[in-house]
Amino acid sequence: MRCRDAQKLSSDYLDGELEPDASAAVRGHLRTCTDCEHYFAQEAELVEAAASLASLEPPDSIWEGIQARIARAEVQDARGGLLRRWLRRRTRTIALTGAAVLVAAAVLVIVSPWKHQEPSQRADSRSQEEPGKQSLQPTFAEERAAQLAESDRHYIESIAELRELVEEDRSAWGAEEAAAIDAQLASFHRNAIGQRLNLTSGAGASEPDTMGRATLYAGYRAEIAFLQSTLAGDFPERR
Amino acid sequence: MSASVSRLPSRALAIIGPKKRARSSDAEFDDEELLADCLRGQSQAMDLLYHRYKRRVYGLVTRIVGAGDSEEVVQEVFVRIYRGLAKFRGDSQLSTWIYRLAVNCSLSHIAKRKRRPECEEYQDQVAAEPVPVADPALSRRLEDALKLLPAGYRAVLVLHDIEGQSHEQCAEILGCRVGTSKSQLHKARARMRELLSSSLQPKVACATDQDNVEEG
Repeated sequence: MRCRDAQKLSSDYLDGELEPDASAAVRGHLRTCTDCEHYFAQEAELVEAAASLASLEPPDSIWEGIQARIARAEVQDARGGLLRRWLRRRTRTIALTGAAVLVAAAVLVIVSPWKHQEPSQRADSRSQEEPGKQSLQPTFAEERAAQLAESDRHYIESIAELRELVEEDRSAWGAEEAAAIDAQLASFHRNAIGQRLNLTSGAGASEPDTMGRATLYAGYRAEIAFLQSTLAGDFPERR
Repeated sequence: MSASVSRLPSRALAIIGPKKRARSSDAEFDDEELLADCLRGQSQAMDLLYHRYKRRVYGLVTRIVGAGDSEEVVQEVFVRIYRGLAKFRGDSQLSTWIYRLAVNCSLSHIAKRKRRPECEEYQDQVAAEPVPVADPALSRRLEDALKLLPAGYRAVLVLHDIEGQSHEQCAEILGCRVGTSKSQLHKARARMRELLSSSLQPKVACATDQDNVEEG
C-alpha cells in the first residue's frame, strides 16, 4: 500500500467505516511507515479535539426574538389570510367578468351585423323586430360598457383596500424597502393612468380597444398580486 | 520509508470510531410526543422543543455562519421549525429535519451575506503569520480555523465531528449521497490539518513527496 493510498483512507479508517480487510491493510502500513503513522495521529488529534468542543449556550435574547417573530407572523396571518381569501374571490369575479366582456367585445367586432349599417338602418331594424320594447332594452354596447365599468370599479376598489392595508405595515419597513415599495406602486399608478387615458381618447372609435382594455386589466392584476405578496411579507427586500 | 516495524502508536492505530450521541428509542419517542403536543398548540411543548434543541442548533449555526450573525439565523431556524411543524411528514427523525433547516438557513445566509472587510483582514492575517510553536489551546485554534473553511466543508465537519451525526444522517441533512459526505469530510479534515499543522504534533511531510513502494 502506498502512502498516498493509505492517507486517502485516513478518515474512513479513523471513523471505523472501513471493511475489516481494508482496515487491516491500513494498520499494516502504519506499523511500517512512521510518516503515515504521524499523519494519521494528527488527524486523530483533530477529530478528538472537534468531538470535545464545548457545546455553545445561546443567549436568552434568542428565545425572546423567536417569540416576537412568531407573534408578528401570526398577526400577518390573521390580517393577510382572510384578506387573501376574500381577494381571491373578488379577483376571480373580476377576472371572469373582464374576460367575458373582452370575449364579447371581440365577437362584436368580428360578427356584428350592425357594424356596417347606418344608424338609421339600425333604428328601423330594431323597431321592426320588437315594437314597443326597443327603447327599454339596452344595446349590446351599453351592456358592455356597464360591465366594463363594473370591472373597473371592482379592480380599483380592491387595489385601494389593499393599499390601505399595506400602508398600515409601513412602520415595519426599513428605508430601502419603503423606497422600493413606493417606487413600484408609483409605477403601477402611472401605467394605469396612461392606459385609462388611451382608452378614453379612443372611446369614440367604432371598434372597442380590446387590447388596451386587456393591458389595463393585466396591470391591475399585477398590482393586486404585488400588494398581496407585500402583505404576506414575501417582498424580496424583506427576506 | 521506515522498514522496521514501528512501536504501536496508540492514537494512530486505535480506531476512534464515530462519536455517538444518545439516540435511544426513548429519545425518538419523546420527540414524537413532543411534536404531537406542539401541533396541538401547547406552549409548554414549544418551549420544551426550543430548550431541547437550542444548543445543537446554536452550536451548528454559530460554527457555520460565525458568532456575529448566529443569533439572527438561529431565530429564523426556530421560526421555520414552529411554522413548518404541521408540514413535517415524519419520514425522517425530527432531529434530522431540524438540522437540515439549520444547515440550509446557515448556508443561505452565507450566500446572501456581503463580504465584510474585517473577514478579509482576518483571512489575510492568518495566511501571513509565521508558523507558531504548538499551541496548547487547540480547541480555540480549531474554532478559528473552522471559519476559514469553505462553507460546505464547514457544514459537514461540524455535523459529523462536532455534532456526532453519522454519514447517513449527514447525507440526509445535506441532501447528498453517503459517499459524498465521506469524501467532503475527508477533504475538510485535510484542509484543517493544513491550517493547524503548526499546532499539531509531530509535523509530517506531505504524502506526495513520499510515495512508498508497495510492500509485500
